[in-house]
Formats: sequence, C-alpha cells, structure tokens
Amino acid sequence: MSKRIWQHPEIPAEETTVSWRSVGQLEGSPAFREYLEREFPASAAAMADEADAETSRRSFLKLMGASSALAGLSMVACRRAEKYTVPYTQAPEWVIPGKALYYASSMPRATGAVPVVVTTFEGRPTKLAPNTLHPDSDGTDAFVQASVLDMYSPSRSQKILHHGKVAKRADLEKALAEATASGKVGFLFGADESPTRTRLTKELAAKFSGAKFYSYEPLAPAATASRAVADFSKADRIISFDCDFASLDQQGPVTPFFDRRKPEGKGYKAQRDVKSMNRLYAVESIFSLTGGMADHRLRVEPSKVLGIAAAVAKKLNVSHPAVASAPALDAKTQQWVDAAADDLLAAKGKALALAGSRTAPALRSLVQAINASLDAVGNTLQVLQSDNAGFGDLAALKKDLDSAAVEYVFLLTPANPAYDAPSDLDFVASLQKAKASFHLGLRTDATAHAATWHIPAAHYLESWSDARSAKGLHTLVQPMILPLYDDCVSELELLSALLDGKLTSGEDSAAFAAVRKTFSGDNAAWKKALREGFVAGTAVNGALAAETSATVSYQAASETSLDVIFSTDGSVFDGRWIDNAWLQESPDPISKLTWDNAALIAPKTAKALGIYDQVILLEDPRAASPVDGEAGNRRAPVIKVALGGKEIEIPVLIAFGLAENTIVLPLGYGQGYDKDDELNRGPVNAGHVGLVGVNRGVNVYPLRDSATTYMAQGATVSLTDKRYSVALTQEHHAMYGRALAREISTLDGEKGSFEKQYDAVAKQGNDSHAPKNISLYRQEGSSTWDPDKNGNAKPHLSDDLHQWAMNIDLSSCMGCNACLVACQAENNIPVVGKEQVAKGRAMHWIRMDRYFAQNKDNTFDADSPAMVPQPVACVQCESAPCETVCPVNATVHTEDGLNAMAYNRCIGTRYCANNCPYKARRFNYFDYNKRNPLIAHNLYKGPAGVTQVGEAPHLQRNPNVTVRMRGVMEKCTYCVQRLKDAKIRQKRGQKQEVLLSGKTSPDVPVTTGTLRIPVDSVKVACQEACPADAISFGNLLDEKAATVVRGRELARSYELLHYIGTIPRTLYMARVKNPNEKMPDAKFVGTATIHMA
Amino acid sequence: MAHASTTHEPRNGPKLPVLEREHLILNNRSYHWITERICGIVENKQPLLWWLLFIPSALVAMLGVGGGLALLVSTGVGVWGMTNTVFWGWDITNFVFWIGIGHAGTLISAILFLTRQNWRTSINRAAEAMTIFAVCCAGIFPAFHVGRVWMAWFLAPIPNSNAIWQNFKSPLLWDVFAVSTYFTVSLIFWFLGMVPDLATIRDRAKPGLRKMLYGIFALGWRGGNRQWSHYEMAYLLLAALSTPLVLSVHSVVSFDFATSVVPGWHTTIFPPYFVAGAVFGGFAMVLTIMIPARAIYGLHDMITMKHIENMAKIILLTGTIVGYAYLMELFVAFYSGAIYEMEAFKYRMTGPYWWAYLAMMSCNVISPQVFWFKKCRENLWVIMAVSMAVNVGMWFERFVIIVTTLARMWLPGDWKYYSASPFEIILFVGTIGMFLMLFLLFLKFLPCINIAEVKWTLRESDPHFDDINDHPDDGTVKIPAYQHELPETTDKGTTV
Repeated sequence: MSKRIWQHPEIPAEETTVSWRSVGQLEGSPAFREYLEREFPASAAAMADEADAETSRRSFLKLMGASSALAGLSMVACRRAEKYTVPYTQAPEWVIPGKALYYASSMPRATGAVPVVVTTFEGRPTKLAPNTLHPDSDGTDAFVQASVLDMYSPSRSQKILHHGKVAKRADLEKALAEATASGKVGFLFGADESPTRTRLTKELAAKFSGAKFYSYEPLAPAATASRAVADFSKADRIISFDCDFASLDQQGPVTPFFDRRKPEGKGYKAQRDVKSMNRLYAVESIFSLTGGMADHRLRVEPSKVLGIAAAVAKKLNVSHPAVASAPALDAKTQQWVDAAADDLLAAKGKALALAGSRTAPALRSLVQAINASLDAVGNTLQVLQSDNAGFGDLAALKKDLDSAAVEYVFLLTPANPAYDAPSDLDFVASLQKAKASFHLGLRTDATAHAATWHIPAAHYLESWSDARSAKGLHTLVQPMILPLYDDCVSELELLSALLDGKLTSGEDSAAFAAVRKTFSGDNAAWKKALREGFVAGTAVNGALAAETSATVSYQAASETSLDVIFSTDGSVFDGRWIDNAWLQESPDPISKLTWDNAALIAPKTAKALGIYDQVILLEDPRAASPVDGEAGNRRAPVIKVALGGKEIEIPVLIAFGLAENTIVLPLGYGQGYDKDDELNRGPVNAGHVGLVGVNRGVNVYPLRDSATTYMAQGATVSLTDKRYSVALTQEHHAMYGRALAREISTLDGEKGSFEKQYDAVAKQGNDSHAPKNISLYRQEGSSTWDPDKNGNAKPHLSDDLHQWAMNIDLSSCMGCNACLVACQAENNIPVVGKEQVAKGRAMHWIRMDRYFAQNKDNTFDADSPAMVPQPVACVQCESAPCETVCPVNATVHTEDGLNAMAYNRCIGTRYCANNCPYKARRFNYFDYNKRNPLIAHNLYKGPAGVTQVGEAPHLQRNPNVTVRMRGVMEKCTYCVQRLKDAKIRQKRGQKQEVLLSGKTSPDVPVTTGTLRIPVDSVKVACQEACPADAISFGNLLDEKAATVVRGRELARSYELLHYIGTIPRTLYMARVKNPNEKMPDAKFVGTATIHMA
Repeated sequence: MAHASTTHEPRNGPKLPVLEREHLILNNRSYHWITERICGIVENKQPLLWWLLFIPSALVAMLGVGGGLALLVSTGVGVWGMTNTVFWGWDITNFVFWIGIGHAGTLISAILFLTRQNWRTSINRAAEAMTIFAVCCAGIFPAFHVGRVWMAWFLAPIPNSNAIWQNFKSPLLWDVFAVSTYFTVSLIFWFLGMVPDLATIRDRAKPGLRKMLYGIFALGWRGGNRQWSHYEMAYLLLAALSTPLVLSVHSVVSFDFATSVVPGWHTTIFPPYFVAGAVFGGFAMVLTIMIPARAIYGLHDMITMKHIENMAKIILLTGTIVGYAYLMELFVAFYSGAIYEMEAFKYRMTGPYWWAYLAMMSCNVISPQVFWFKKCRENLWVIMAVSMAVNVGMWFERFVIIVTTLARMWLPGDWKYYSASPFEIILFVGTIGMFLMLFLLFLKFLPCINIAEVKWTLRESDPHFDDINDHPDDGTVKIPAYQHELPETTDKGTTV
C-alpha cells in the first residue's frame, strides 16, 4: 500500500481564476506546487522510505503498548470537560473576561440607602462591598450582602400578571392609561427616600389633582417631616430603650459606635484609654445584638420599658406627661436608673437616648424629651428633612380606598401589605375596592396575588435610581446589567410612564433621564457623582417632628398574661427576604435558628408555665437537668399562643437573657405552605413563595394589629402535643470554663486593675499554665537556633514580601451575620437546606459562635447572662494540624502563610477536619452546588435527584473561586483569590510605571517596596462587609504601619486555643466592657471569662 | 515438634511419676481419621445448617455491601450520618473493628508458631482465614468512606501528571501501607500453609475440574523431603515476617488517633492499648466462629477444651490490659490539669454517649473477668456469651474513641450529636454478612484445619514414640494407633 498522491488538474490555459489560495498559486511557484501535493504540511513527520510509510504490525503494537502503558500509569487526561468559549464580536467597554469591574451604587432602604461598590464580571454583578468613599459608609449588613442573590433567584417574578395570569405588556399599558385618565391614583411607596421619586411625585401631583401618596413598611415608622439620625462618633454615653440600633433598627451609621468600643481607638493608633470609650446602657426585653454590646443591660418586660424611661427622665428633671405617671421601681432597679441617669447627665451634650422605631409614641416622645434635656439634638443627634414628608400611612390609604378617593393604586413598597398589614386593617378587602391595583415587586407574594396587576420589578442592580443615605446624602443607584427578564420595570419607570404615557424599561429606560434631571450639575460633576456614588453636601437639616406624648398605662405581665414582642427577624427582616436562601440559612444571631422562626421564652417563665421540660433541655452539664439538649433541640415543642381572640401555633425555644413573662414572636415567616409541610398546614398560599420560602416558619402577623405593632399584652400560652423540627447551628451555649471568647472590664475588679486585666488576657483560662511552645526544629540551644532581637524564635517565613494575618476584635464584634453572608457571596459557598443544617452540615466558612456566660454570684440579676459572639473561621495555623494528616497533600501551607486547600487534590478522607481544633473545615457531603438541596430528600436521590433550577443562580458565582464538587473539603483561605489578584495588580502596576517612565527595565530597580502590596490596601470579604470594623487584615511584614500588626501587638490580643500550639495567624482581641462603677451590676460586667483563669 | 509422651522412663532407674500432659488430639485419633474428617468437610455435601447460614449471609452481603456502596458512591457520603463536627462515624469505627478482628489470626499463626505453641495447629487455619476476611471487610471502609472514591488512587505512590507525591507525614498514608502489607503477607502466609493440604485434597479427588483446580493451587506439591524442607523454612521466614506486622498494623491504626491534637485521641498509650484490644477482640471472634463450627462438623477431637481454655485465658489477659488502659487514660486526663483533656473523658462517661461507654466498659472489662474461674472457662455457653460480649464491646470501644471524642472537642460552639444513618448500619451489617459468607465458603472449599500440622502434634509423629512401652500399664492399646481404625464418631463427637 503506497501513499496516494493527489494529482491536481492543470489549470486550463485560457481560464483566469479569481481566487487564490495564496500568492504562491498566483505565481505558480514550485514551492506552492509541492505544498499542494503534500498530504501533510512540511512540519509533519515525513516518511523516510516505503517501510516507514506502512506501519508494520510490530511497530504498531510497540507504539500502542507503550502509549497505553503510559496512559494507564499516569492516568492523565482521564476527564476533560468539553467547553467552548466564544469571544465577544463587539467587546463591551472596559470588559476583560475574568477581570472584575467595580461600580459605585447603593441599595435603597428605609433607614437610608447603603452605599455599595458592586463587583461585576462580564456584566454580572456578583458581590457587594461598602463604598468607602461615601461619608455614610457603614459596612454592609447581611441583608445587603444577600440582596445580590435576589436578582438571580429562580423564584423571582418574571412576567406581568393580570389576576394571576400572564398578561401582555400592551394590556398593562392600556390599564395604566385608564389609571391616568381617572386621575384618582394612589401611590404606596416604601419608607426609603429618593430625590428623583420626590421630584416625580411633585410632577404627578401637579398632573393629577387626585394623586395621593403614602408610604408603608411594616417595621418602619410612618413618614414624618423629618427624621433624627444618631451621630455615634460624638456620643460618649448612650441609653437605648428597646432599640437594636446596632443591627436591625438602625438609627444612623453604626461604625463610629463600634470604633469607640476599642480602648485604643479606630485602627489601634492610640494608647489604650478608657475615657475614649463610649458606654452603652440598654433597657430591653429581647436579647438584641445591641443588648449584647451593652455595658449595662437591664432586662424588663416590654410593658415596663416606658416606666424605666420615665424614671430616667424623672432623675434628669425632664418634664413630660409620662414622668408624672411613672411607676415606683424596686430599689435595685431604681439604683440602676439613678446611676445611669447621673452618668448621662454628666456627659450632657455628649449623651444620647434612643428608642426603638416601633415602640409606643409615648416612649418615643419621652426619649425625645430626654434627648432635649441632654442637649443631644445638634450634638449626638442630627435632624434631617425627610423627602417623604406628607405621605400618608397604610390606614390613610385604606380610608381613601374605602371612600373611593383612590381608584387606582400603585403598590410600590418593598413590603407586602396583603401579608404584613396590621390584622385589624383588613387591607386586602379595601384593596379589592380599587378599580385596579398595580403591584410592583420582585416576588409574586401575597400582595401580588391580591392586586389586579403584578409587574415584575427590576432589581436595584438593574435600574437607575437615586436615594438618600443614612445621613441624607443624595446617593445614586446605577444599573449593572439590563433586567434579566424583559417584563421587569423599575419604580421610576412606572412613575415616568404615568407622566409620559409610555412605559419604558431596559435599554430605553426613562429612569436614567429622570435621575440625571434631578441631578442638577454639569456632566463633569455627574461623572464624578457616578464614580463616587454620591453628591456631597446634599443633606438638608430639618426640625424635629414631635411624637404624640399621650402616655399609655400597661398592666403588669404575668405567666397567665404574657407580654408579646413582635420582633424583627434577623434573616427575613419583615418577611421580604423569605425567598433568599443565604439569609434563610444564616443562623439567627441570638437563637442560632435557621430556616424557620420560633417563639422565644425565658427559662424561668417556661418553668412557671410548665413547658420548660418539654422545651429544649438546657445544656449546662453542671445543672441537674440532663446533659445534652441536642436530641431535644431538633424537635421543638409547638405551643399555642392566644392573643386578643386569635391563636397561632408556633414552635418554641428557650432564650437566655430574655425578660420574664415575655414571649418573642419573630415576624416574616409562614407566607406559604405546600403539601410537604411538616405540620400539614398546606397547601395554603403556596404560590406566594418560591422553593426557598415555602413551608418556612409560622406567620405571626395575624396577632398584630395597628395598636400593637411592636408589643401586645395579655397573651396566654398552652402546650400542644405537636413537635416541629428546628435546625440550629449551635447547640451549646456556654463556654464551660474554657475562656474562648474573652472579656475584661475597665473597672478594677478581683482580678486586678484594668491594666492588669488587659495585660493578662493571654493568660486567661487554661492558657495560664500552658507551657511555652517550643519548636521541634529550631530549639533554643540547637545548632540551628537563630533568635530574633528579643531572643524569641523567629517565625519560619519563606515569603519576605507578604505574610498574611487577621485580627478579630471581640470588643466591637456584635455577632451579626454580615461577614458570614459576605463570605458566602465571595467564595461560592453553597446553600445546603434545612434538612442538612439540622444534620450539622451547614457550609458557612465562618461559624458565628455565640456564648452566654452566666455569673452565679450576680446579685443584681442572676438570670441575665453576658453574651459574647465569636466568629470562627480557619485561623491559618502556622503549625497546622490539618496539614500533617492529609494523606494526599491536598492541604498545604503557602509561602505567604496561608493554609491552602487544593480542591482538585482532595479525596475527602476528612481527617484534616477531625484534627482541626477549631472545626473550621466544611465537607461537601453531597453535590450541594449541583443538586437542589431545597427539595425534600432530593440530595439523597443521588443521580436521580433534581439538579439546580435554572441557570440564574450560577451567574452569581465568583469566577475566581472554584465551585467545589461533592466529596471535597473546603474552608476559609483568607480570600486567596483577592490576595493573588492584588499581587498581580501590584506587579502589573510596576510594569506599567516602567513603560510610562520610558526607562528600560534594568534601570528600574525591583525592590521589596515596589513588589509589596501597599499597606492595608487589600481587604478580605468579611473584613470589608463588617459594619463593626471588628476585622483587620493585612501583611505582617508591614510592621507597625499595618492595622493588623498594631492590633496583634496589643496585650489584649490572644490566640484561640493557644494551649495546643497551632500558632494561628488569626488572633482574637478580648472584649473590653466599660461599666459604670456606680451601677449595682458593675462588678459582674466583663467577667464572662475572667473567672475561668 | 511434639514430645507427647506422658511418662518418662529413664533407661536405668526408678520410674518417676510425671503429670500426664493433656493430649492435643483426643481419642487417639489416627492420621487417617484426621485426613478423612477434615477432607470430608470439603468433599461431602454440606449440612442443611450451612445452607441456612450461607444463603442469608450472601444476600445480606450483596444488598449491604453491594447496594450500600452503590448508593454511597452514586449519591455522596452524605447518605451517612456524619456532620461537620463529627466527620468520622461508623465508617472508621467499623474499619478499626474489623482490622482488630484480623489480629488473632496472624498472632496464632505467626507468634504462636515461633514460640512453638503446638496447640495453635488446630485453630490456625480458620483463624488466618478469618484474618483475611476481616481485613477484606475492613478495607471497604477506609476505601469507600472518602468523598471521592474514584480519586482514591491519589493514595498510591504512582507517577501522575500533577507530580504530587503523597504526604508521608500522614498516619492515614501509613495506614494504607500497613494494612496492604498486612493483608498481602497474611494472604501469602495462609496460602503457603495450605499447600500440602490442598495437595491432599487434590490427591483424593477424582479426575476432573475439581482435581485440576486443587491441583493448580497445590502448586505441584508432592510431599518429598526436599519440598518439606524448603516449605518449612519458607513458613518459618514468613512467620518471622508476620510477627512484627501483628504489632505494627494496629499500632499504625492507633496513630490515626494518637498523632492528632484531639483531646481523647492524643495519648501515648494508644499503640499498646490498640494491639492488646485487637488481640482481645480477635480471639473473641475466633471463639465466636470456631465453637459453632466445631459443633457442626464434629471437630471436638481436634479443637479440644484445652484450645478453648487457652483462648479464654488470652481473652482474660488482654481484656485486663485493655481495662488497665481505660483506667490509665482517665488518670492521665485527670492528672494533665488541662480542662480539655479532663472534659473529653468526662463527656465520654457522662455525656450524651454514656451508654456507649457503659457498654464498652461492661463488655470489655467486666465480662472477661469470669474467666478467672475454671468452671467458666470450661462452659461453652459462658465462653460464647463472653466472646459475643467482647465483640460488641470492642465495637463500642472504637465508637467511643472516635465518635464521643469528635462530638466534644475544643470549642463548645461546634459540639454536635452524631447518630448513624440507616445506610451506615446497612453497610456494616453487609460486611458481617460478607464475613460470614466468605467464612462459610472457606469451610466448604478449603481444609479448615491444618491437616499436616495437626498430624505433627500426634504422639505417633514423635520419632521416639513407642506406643507399647509408653503405655506399659495400659493393656487395652497394644497396637499403635496409626495401624488401628477407630469406629466412626457422631457429629457430637461421641464414639458410637
């Protein structure tokens, strides 16, 4: 068999070809003829002779044998995914595939827009970070971090609905025209403020004489002419009455508050100074995160808070109707109040009183009076004019609907009034009276179903808008991407449609023009505003709007007549986040409950009610009750709560530190059930929620009416025989004498002065007699001994540019979930579902441990424990126990001090995780990323199970982080992708500088200074998000210039579990409590761990 | 070799009374009887009971191991009950349990061989088989408990395109080598010891497939002097090679725990404690299996009460060592002064898994103490009960060490309760089925007692044996036993 040679026919002489394969053909060069005749290009191996041309059987076997042996041995290229990448035919501006682009924007909220920087990859927003250019930048809480997931949610509303059926856009436009023709239109906004919206409402009011405006959010106060914003940087003494200003009920940017929880000041730049610290008194009934931070916390029934405030006011000589009717307090409480009031008075002008935004007007008015007497307004309290002045409330809308003053209503609020309106309003019935109602929302919730029209809303990352930040600055909202679904419309687009008669969206959006019009400056100013995200100096001060001061009298609560608090939920807020899987899976900061809500009740009250034994067995092994609450934790008993003739059934948990005779009912759950519900409540409203929110918790809104939006009285509780499974991420709540999260007091106590306590932080607990950690390799006296200038062993560093480290300052960490959710967003951490969380398989890389410490000698209130949170992620041990035990070298140390995970190498023996003292590793027991964990038992079906719904959730993923498959261990690696990116940028920057300077590279020296990333310039996701400024991260080799180094050199920083000698790179810093020595409980404050030595 | 003479008469001098040495083989069984009896098991039809045991265990093995692993691999380790706190549960518990079972076999065959304990010959074959099967069962767990079993070859030092070598600091890798070495050596040792017996069966078989197959495995054994001489040397060398392995394997397994930083695992007592525990559990399993087999196949003359009593004594000794280790652990934890150590043990005893600790203590420490009494060592029911208790107790020991420790480590914030899922239980039951199935197949196809070696222990095997002079007062036996056929015995071992 000889090689065939293709004979090309000669080109006929007269024919002129018009196309050539090359210039060679045109010229008819010999080289080209040869090329034509060759079967393979010249570079391919040529056969030398006839024997070569035919592969002999022998040579074939030889080759095949060798290659299959090699293939079998090395097993290379066994699995290669076939994927096609297609380049842009027209590249969008700035976009480099795989590189992030950052834009300033903001998330509108009732407490002021949160300025953010949005990370986008190829046009997909994936991650939010606070915009530090913005003066009101305040970290980003868990809600903000999780809001990006909402955009990609598979249950997001995608189609215009008319009476629940998919409708055409043209029909909607017709309906809008009808509304325009009628002129009797009402607009129900959220409690957020937006200059452009305000401008448009004025235009609407001018166009339609019958236009009426309302604002409503169930957990925000009604719109007033002005609002007061706290300036915590100036507040030395703060007293809060049922006000969780640190997390769920913000009264102004909180980072300054937390910075003043550090005796060394922000960035640890000053000498420790107790006087620089603020002091917080909290009077509250639930245990809030603010209460956890308080130096003095008084737990009282919600009905008594007004009385306490009145007693404080009395001491401060405030005149107010409530003061006269102030009840007599018992001696201990009176002493507490007197000392606190004295302290506030002494700090006049630097003191601040805060009341929860949902508390009774009487209390709020009393607190206004207290603030006035403390000279707070203008000092620690700033009053801003509100854009929403004059907007009616929901009751007003109902009245107008009933009287037909409003015929067409636009429900633009992010709330869900058909579900969360006070039960006595019967809002849905009134809504039906409207000729047409238009609901704009991201979800097809109860209101969407109650309204005539539902319009899918564009997410704030998809639309142009503007807003006012916490301190009233005009802040811009920019779209990152066109709306994912064609029918999506934004609020401004809808308002513009009524003005212009044309509904625009997407690329033609009228919102941009509207926003641009509101912004009066020139193009340069506009560009600057877009770049920075805000317009400076746009806040308008106003006069304080007085609250009604009519006082109410409460009856004393008892076991048979409990006080009820309708609390804001840390995961779903008012219920709007019920379909957000990240928030559902993030544990409640206090109860550690995920995926559901549960009633909370103090242990003593539970005992008095006779349900204690049924409820979770408390897990103190030293108590007489059985050791573990674990098995019980998983099946909480269901109680029946009766209030004002209405009843609900809800599972119950024990809550430490809660006021007695009080029951806390978190709002926002129970929006829809299907047939799989554990308590057989469904199918009810199953269409109101998506796969995440269905069958979640219990709806407590029916118990709440207009008069009792925050608290109610006279509830009774009875036990049912039902039980409900609850998924708790933490089952043990005490430290059991282990001095893990450490606390000291600024007061001189039995363990010595403040200075002595401060210096002895590292010696608390078992660490007081832990022997010095001696290296096996460079031991003192050995030939390799090479001490540093202090005579200590030098750390074993192989990278002399970067050595990463982190500090977590418990003095400002309050235990919210901002870092946890930020980490989830950054690192593609999967959601595992309730079933798996209950099994203890939550995947969060940061475990938010929260410990209660009870001081048995506490004569003031022995049942009021201290609460110390402790976020635990991988601490990047220098001597890591996980690394030595991995049989396949899948977890190894990097030269810059990270404990790295090579996911592709991991086979999943799980030994590393067993040997990790911090239990910071998470194992992919199932294919959480691939299989849908939200469908019951789906994960257990293996290949037969349902895969994730749709493409959308995958679009959120950070392309720089591997998505882990099942059977692989994962954990925190200090956002290694960010560190690598920063290093690359640093090097590239050097290169560009060289190019720009026109020098040749040998003339440009490469030094440590040029290659090292600038001090504190790289931030990790958790640190960035932290509203409390509790996490510092940086390069140890930057020495004192780096915040992280200044922090870890302080005596109050300590290694968690120093006893083992893992030499962690993450250090914790002890919490410093700043009690007032005149307070009756002063000597029990800050002793949570000090007794453990 | 055996010196089975019961009296010793000096050539010139008075006759001295000597305590009669207990016979290893009772009833003066002849060479022929032994061959017939052992080969008979292989050559005859199996009793009904064999089928009654075999069919269910084969089914359980198929469903439990086959089905259990298919589900595990296709779905994920999540079908088991582990959490992100307790990462090992029944998987490693079962691994250590089965590996422990495997210890008695090699101990009997190697160490007792080297120390010339001739009583081993009646039980060594079955015990070695048990070792092999137990290691087979054990191997399933570490191999399949990993998250990505299809990548388990990363554990083997084979060249790969990533050029990543194994981590030789990891005790888990030591395990891989220790267990595979142990398995290989045990298998060769077992097989080599069987060669003469396989040849015997071959020689007795009619021509056909059976003869051919036994012929292949008999490796051409002819029983010549040269073959015996080589064979004995090889056997001796392998025994010497296996002996350190008996000690090393479980020591290495214990390093999985001892080298960690986990309070409750990180103890220097682990290696000897684990080895003692393994021998303890292994002997209990030998008894659990051999006592019924002895009854079913009528092996009373070869597996005598002396054997059983000896094993009971070893159980008493090792059980007491294990008990000492338990108490010493507690003392050291108390003496350490470290709260983490103290509480690790406190929670073992009083924590949520107190029942496991109680089961371990009562089964392993208390129950073998009855063997101080000879009456108990001679009562098969008591021995069976204690062996069963020890099997259970040793499983619980591993459970206590692994699960209760992980559930209560350093930070109370991560403490969780672990309970096994049905699929974990199914797999474990499946391995029990597999173990029984393999053992029953072994009984059917292979000589379950070492024919050749048992014969060495007969008095007649002693070159100096003189049956007439050694029985001067016994007028009944005038003819040497090997020239004399005894009547058949019933299954109960009594002479008809």
